Amino acid sequence: MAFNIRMGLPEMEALWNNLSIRKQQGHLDKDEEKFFKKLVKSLGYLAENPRHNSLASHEIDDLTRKYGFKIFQSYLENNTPSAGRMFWAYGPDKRDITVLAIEPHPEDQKRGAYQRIKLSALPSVKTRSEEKRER
Amino acid sequence: MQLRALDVFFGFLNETEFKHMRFCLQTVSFYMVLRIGFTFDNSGKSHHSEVMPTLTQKQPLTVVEDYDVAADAKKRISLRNAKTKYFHVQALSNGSFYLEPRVLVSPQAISARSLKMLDKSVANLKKGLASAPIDLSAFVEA
Repeated sequence: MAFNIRMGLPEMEALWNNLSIRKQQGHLDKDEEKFFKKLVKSLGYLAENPRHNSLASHEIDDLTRKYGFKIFQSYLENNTPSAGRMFWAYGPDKRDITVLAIEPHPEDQKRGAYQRIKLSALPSVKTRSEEKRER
Repeated sequence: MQLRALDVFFGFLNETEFKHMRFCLQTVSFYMVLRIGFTFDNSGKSHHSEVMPTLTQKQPLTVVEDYDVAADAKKRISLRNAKTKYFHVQALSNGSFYLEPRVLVSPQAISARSLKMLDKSVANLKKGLASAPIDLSAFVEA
């Protein structure tokens, strides 16, 4: 493999350990099984070639600016609205890739998550003078 | 009777003089309103005209629709002519419901939980800390 895949500490490592151990024991439920299969497949692609077409990897400028080094985003699935994504970066050593986070967060997918969906307030209505200024 | 302005300020007028003074002022102001269209503003906000409200002023809410509804068998009611799909609902202790329009957060946005996870991972990665390389061989299907 071209790259070593590492997990970010502490949450991503805990998530991976939890899923992988339960997978070996055969204790994953249907949704978790699906998610784990996608994750393993994507991590396999990432280890071989971070620019693999299926991953559609691209840098997230806002996060790069925020953290001071390049943060990339890759997709866990294709042709899916609101597809799962993972955020990763090169390092800590050469030929290493560290998976920093995944979206949606596993907690969001559990039952009752619908009640925790966040809605935002309506955007403020622009006045005519503000619209003119923007033009 | 001639009255000095200072007398008005310092209250040196007796009751009769004060009444006379007030009558004179009312007459003058009434005349000015009639003839010149000039009005006295006692609100203290004379520079805020009603014709041209400022942007910072909140527009007063108006009742657009007023109707009674009956909840159906599943205790649901329909909103007529609702302009948004999503609402934030607050059930108040007096049985009232308060609805505020909302929009869905962009799917491209990162959830607070994931961002927190990212923050922690990045902080550790900056210190050179990450997990041991993971072994995918056990899970990759042949």
